[in-house]
Amino acid sequence: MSYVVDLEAFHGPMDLLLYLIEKDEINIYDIPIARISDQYIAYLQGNGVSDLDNLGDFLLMASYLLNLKSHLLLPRPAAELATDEAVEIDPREELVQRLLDYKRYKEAALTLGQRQEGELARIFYRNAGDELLGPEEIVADMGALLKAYRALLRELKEEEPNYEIRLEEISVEDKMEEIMSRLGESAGGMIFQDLFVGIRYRREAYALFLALLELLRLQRVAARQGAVFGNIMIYLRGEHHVNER
Amino acid sequence: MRDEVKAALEAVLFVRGETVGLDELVELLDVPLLDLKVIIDELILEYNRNHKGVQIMALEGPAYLMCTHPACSDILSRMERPVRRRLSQASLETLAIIAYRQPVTRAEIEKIRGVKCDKVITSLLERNLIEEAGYKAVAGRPMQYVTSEGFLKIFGITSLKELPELEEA
Repeated sequence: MSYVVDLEAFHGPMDLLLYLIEKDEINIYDIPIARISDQYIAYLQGNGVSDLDNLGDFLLMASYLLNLKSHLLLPRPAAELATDEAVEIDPREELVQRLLDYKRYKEAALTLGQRQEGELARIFYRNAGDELLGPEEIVADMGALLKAYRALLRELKEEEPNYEIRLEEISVEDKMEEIMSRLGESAGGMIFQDLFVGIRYRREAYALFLALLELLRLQRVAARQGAVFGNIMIYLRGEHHVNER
Repeated sequence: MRDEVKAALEAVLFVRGETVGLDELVELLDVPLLDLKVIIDELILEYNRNHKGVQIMALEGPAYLMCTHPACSDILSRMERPVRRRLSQASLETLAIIAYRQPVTRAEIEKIRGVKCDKVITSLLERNLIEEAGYKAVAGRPMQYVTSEGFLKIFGITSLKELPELEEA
């Protein structure tokens, strides 16, 4: 039995917002915007969003909430008040509508998941099975990568006090090339820790890790973790990543 | 004769494992349409009367499907299958939106979920759970997506009409 490991706690800003509202059993039609936007931003600051792809979307919602908050706090000009009297529109209305909409589909997704798992009474086709194509959807996040790196660093001793000045420069560029060529030689990717085999000095480990981050950013390599606390595998992009874009 | 036709029907529906149109059955078994229909109905009744684990469903078309009885879903879900792949919440949410609102564009999905969905959509396309369904006639002509046959199979339904009603907003 294998599992989908969902390291992303929240699947987007709507998911997070809905969680904050339901956690405090807030009436969705009367959301205390000031309180919720503070909590929303506190969450982003506290936990961070490891999924950099979606960071922009989380921030967009934060700015939307702040805008809404200021809108509600500021007194409106008298002229606007007078003309608006008849059709008083709650500025929160759009947000409420979006939240309700998202909630409906989130619940529908839950039901779909239960159907797939056979937790709800359903029929099974003979040939269909559950043989979904493609790899299991598991994503390793930046946090897991950083943790593995820190554990590795602890094993490497600080450089011995040594008054000899090291002349060879360790450059990140060289390390990037080294990683690419080592990955090229090993089909099926390499375990993260194995990349550091043979490294004696922290300085070199720093350069190697920076090189790896740079390669990830440039999307020349991909990192994947097969299970919680499992090995992080580093792959060359262009092989072995049906799941990626 | 009648029993032979029933036996043949069972064999065809078993091997196909998905819906078979009445037209195709008429051609295959060489039995007049009206007669065949009566015989199939009888066969369906026999299965139901005897509380079999397998059933034959009469679907729109008309078409027929041999599949398991819902009463067995609990046992089947516990059965170890060699490959068992679940979908992530992001995939399920995106699928749900496509299933209920199809045809739907990526932008429409992203508006509801509040996050970019390009990767999820690509992976659903690769898994044959959704299909492209032509461009929408609006500015930019974005691609529209619909659910596929594979979607029905994975979730054990025979038509989109079987999807439970969306909760009222």
